[in-house]
Amino acid sequence: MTDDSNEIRRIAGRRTFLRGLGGGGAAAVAAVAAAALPTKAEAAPAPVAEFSLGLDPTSITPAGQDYEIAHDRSVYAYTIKDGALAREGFAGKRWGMLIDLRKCIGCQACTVACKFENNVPEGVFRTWVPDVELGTYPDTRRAFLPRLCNHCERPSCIEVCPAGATWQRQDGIVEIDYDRCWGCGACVNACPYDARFIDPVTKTANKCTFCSQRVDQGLLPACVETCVGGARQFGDLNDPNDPMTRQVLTEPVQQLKPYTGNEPRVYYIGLTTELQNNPPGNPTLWSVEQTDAGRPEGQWSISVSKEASHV
Amino acid sequence: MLERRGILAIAAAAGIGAGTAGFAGRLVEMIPITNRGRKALHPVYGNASTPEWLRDTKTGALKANPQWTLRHTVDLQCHSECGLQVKIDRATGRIQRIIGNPYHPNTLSDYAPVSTPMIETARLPGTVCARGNTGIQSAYDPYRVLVPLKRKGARGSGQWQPISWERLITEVSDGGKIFADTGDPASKDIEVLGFRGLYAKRGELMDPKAPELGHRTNGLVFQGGRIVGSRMLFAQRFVHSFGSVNVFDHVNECELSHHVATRHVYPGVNMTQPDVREAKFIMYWGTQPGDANFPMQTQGKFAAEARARPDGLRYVVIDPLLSRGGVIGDRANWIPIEPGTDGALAMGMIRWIIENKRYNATNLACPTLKAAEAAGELSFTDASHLVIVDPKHPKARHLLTAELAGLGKPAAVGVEDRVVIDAASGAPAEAAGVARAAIEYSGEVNGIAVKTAFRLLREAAEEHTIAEYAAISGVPEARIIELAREFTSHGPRAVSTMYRGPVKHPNGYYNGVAVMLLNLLVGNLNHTGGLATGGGGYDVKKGRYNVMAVPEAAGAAFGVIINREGVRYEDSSEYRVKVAAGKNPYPAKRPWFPLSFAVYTETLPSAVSRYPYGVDILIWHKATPLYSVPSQGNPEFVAAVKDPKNIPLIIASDIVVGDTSMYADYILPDVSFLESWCHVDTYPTTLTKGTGLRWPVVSLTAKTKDGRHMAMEEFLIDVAKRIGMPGYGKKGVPDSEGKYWPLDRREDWYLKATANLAYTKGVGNDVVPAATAEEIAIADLAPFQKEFGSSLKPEEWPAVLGVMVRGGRFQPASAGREGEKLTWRFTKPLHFYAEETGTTRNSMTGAYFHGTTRWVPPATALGKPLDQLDNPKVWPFTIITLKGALQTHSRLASNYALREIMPENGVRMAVSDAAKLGVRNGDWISVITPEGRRRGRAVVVEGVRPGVIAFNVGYGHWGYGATNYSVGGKRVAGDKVRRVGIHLNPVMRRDPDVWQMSLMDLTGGSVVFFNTRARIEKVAAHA
Repeated sequence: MTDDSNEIRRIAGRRTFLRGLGGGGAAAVAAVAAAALPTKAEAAPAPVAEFSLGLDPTSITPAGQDYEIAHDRSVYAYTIKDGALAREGFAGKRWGMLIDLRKCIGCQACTVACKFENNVPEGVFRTWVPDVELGTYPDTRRAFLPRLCNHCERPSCIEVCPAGATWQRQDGIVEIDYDRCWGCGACVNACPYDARFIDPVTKTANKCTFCSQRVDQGLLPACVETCVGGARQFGDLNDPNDPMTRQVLTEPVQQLKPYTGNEPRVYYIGLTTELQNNPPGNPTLWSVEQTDAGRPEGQWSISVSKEASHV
Repeated sequence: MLERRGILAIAAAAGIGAGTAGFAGRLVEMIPITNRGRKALHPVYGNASTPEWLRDTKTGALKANPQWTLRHTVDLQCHSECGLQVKIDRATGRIQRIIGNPYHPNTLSDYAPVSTPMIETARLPGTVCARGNTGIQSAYDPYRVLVPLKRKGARGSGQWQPISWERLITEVSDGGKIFADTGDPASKDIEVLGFRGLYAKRGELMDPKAPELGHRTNGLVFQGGRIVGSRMLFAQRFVHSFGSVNVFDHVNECELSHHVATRHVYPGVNMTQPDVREAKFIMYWGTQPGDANFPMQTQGKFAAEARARPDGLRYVVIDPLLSRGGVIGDRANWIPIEPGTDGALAMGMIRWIIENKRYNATNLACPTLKAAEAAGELSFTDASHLVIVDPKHPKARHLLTAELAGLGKPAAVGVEDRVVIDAASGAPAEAAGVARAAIEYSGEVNGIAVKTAFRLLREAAEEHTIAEYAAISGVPEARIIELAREFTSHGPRAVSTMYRGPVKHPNGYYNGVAVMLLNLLVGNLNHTGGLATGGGGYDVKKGRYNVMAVPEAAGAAFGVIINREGVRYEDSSEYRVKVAAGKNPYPAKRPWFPLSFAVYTETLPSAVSRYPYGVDILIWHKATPLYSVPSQGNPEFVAAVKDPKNIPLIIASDIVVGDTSMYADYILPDVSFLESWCHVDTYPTTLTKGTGLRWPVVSLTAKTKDGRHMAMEEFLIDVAKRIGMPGYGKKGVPDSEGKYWPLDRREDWYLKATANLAYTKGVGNDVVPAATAEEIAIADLAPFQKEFGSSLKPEEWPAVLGVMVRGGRFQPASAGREGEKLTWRFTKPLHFYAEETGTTRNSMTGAYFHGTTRWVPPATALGKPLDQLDNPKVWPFTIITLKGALQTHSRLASNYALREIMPENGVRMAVSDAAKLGVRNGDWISVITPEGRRRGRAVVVEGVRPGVIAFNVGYGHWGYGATNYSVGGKRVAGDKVRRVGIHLNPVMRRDPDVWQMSLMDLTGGSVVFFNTRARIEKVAAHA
């Protein structure tokens, strides 16, 4: 594994230099942002810039997708203090997640928090919450099944990568090197949980990383922080005193599709056999409508999942 | 863009599979250079934002990442008013992420005490729901209106010209032929009165023959959509000083009858909520944890925690739509009730509970608070109080007092002066001296026919058998009994609670009262695990400054509100004139709503039909009646609103060209909630006292010449100054010593209200510490203090900055309960019989309302049963709306992070109904009502009662960026994302006998959302 610090140091130095010349500040950044905006040929007609009537048009461009445009690698200069942590992870730890379905109210806060935290482009998701009905009227129940990368003990996505661009850290987090990955999609295909996708902006594979940028600073993943019902817990499976781990060890827990042999490290409480072996893929009760919004097929949707026919 | 399926195909073609790593070199050549994407920001962390807190590698301690500013404010993506922590990029000034404010009671079960330093909350911020997370997209909507717009052409032409702030203020203040430049033949010659002209008439009566209508200045109407807390106070201060009573928000289109029903059972209280975490059994009527409620995320959070505990909560959701209960065994159950029959189910339960004596007899026998306390009860009711039932008695329908009962000179006043039958002696006595009273009495006292309030309820419940209630509600008799038994099996730890479902019907008030009365039978109020009235908020109006005082304008506003609310028709000149002429005074031309407030849906039809008077200036503040009020989007009515002869001047304060503001003359660029000020109290759900502070964490609207960001408040300030109203400008806000301080910008007012909040007397451990230097740096408040330094006295700044850093002032979480009691207890008598309701008449029929409750079938204003209005055989479906977790009524169309999860709403219908019609999931269908038709997709589900169709409100826009318009001659293209979906409000049922009135609950005042009947046709092919 390479050390990222050198490149970050180099860019950070350049950034400081620019600021010294008086080129910093919001206006300069905004100008850069406008110039660097990708052309979205297939997107719906963008609202005209004149509408802002003399104000800086970038002040009203949609937020949440411009962070990476407005910044360069110097924002990660702080990682120099952490050495190779981003690539190697914490020694002696094994991160995992426990999702208590009794506490999930299907609010999709996690789905959205992840998108803003990780600047996930429109139409693709690192985590999502299928919303399904079980049983027939009037004995019907509505169930929610939060989905994400399982950070498996035996991940099937790693060995298929022809570029050596995906690996598992010593603390169990499966990572992708976005500089190395060329987006062939082999890993996307190899994952039995549909956790991976090709990022339409970077054209590389992308997926949940347990928010390793947060975990490495001692913070929780965004989906766990925002979980309204407290259904999602994150912790160290190597630590028997970790509250999450205590629960994993003492209560009946399940994993998705246990027959894959991947040994997922995302556990569930209250997962029915029906959902466990054939997990639904769609975030809402219904997916046909996703073609009506004037977006090209699939741009809004994660309904391309192999498992979409479940609902 | 590649999809996963597509990748599969490509991968197969390229021969990729397990063990191909060795071919890496060849494969990289296969990727065309044009397919390479933009480089990620970090090789491992990708494009993720950097964290807001960073860990010291050696000590593990966290410190703030200087890249970010963190500010605590309050959400308004829905009306849950959750505290937010907003993460702002210092380099770009842009918001990057929103998470919960850990000090705010909505966001954590054990939220941080205000005494906790901010850095100590780093590892556990509060939660927010999906809508809270996406608030960024409401503020940074590319369709935001950031400068004033004036129409070109006719109203609704879709052509706008940007104008300067000065021109906006001048034209609307001074009036005249201000539409001469629009080229609109209908309005170019109209002489508009303007604020100045109307204000000049402030001494004149609206109608000398009907002085009760007040002054001409009531011709100014501020129709508020979403406006709450101190933002509403600011608007009221202006409108009242101007001399108008017409300033209100949208309550009756939301859930007014819920408030009115609650007020009549819990006198003066608009809302009660269960202590969800400690309750054993809750009946949620017409709402459920995770859907809209007060507050949505906190109800969901508490219910999720409680239902997962081994000895925790069981609940039922009584709603035609499936509960979000999930896979949790029998902890959450669904009772698919027939819409609008909640009162029948509740009365069936009440009948069984009374007949089987399953009620809390000890509690109900206590006629006073004193007696209740002696009996160890935490609340008392009027169950034993005697009501005069002789209709000929001059005090008929009133409660019997000692004097009327011939008991001599009253020894007590008010509630304690009521008369009861002493259980010990069997004789009538003043309540004050009685420990235990009879609750079933019916007979005569002093020759007057009386019954106890409890007896009245019993007799009302016995008007139908449980089997009949079962037939009406569609809930089997055995299930009704089972529910009643379970509800009465947990002592005070069982609660009956509701939101919109039971009350948005013509019989909504009575349904609501029945749902509430169940609580009185178990005596759960003020109990841990029972029902709470909450701690409320802190007073921001007084203290350091009297921010509402405008002494020169005191009493300027009086008269009847245009919606005819809070006043009896019988007190009107119209009524007196009719009676004097020997005519039947009933019906009134349009209904009066004596028990209600904010009857927003009546504003426009009343203005157009000039009843009781016409409107000169209408301000729509974040209001969209044409989209959100049932039936008001119909073409005839839209044409009436567009006609300038009906309402000469309409100013919309909005953040976009909205579905209704597109018909305004001017659009005043208002601030989004992230740029806005407001003080807003917490809800009973969280049990403690608290007031959140919303303040501008970013500012996006254009600036006035003197550097203020345009907003509704700046508009009102500038108009007031231009026309010379007192209370603005140099002599603005008086402090506690009577010294006046200027009011030239909104901060001059809101910061003073914040000082009141910071300094007001506390309730223990709720004093917000002064902000530390570190916290001021994290929130970047030094420039703020510099800019607005003169808005406060220097000594007030540290405390005010402390409140800004915390995002409000809150009592600690641990203060919610005192053992088996709730800390904040309500001690007035709870009403089985609401005297105010029982002595008030329906203005259309002249009949008295019921002082207690009973099963009342839904009917029109003149009393025609709805089943006779639209034959169910022709119209087999009933339309209901839902307020799910991913949408808030009319707004959030700009929140594409929500739309990409649920891009379209569709029409939910039952599997069995779909099968009969040959409709499959996803098919196009037409929904046809007596008012029109709309097309949408069928969403075929198990989780809806057959015969009911449901749609999620918030889709199918025609404004809000959904369609094209032009500004300054340049086209703004609408986005189809906002247009898709079905919106049935415009084709909802109007009352057949009142012009352009939706079906209404004349008792509670709610507009009706859930009683429009429909039929469905399959659409062969979608054009």
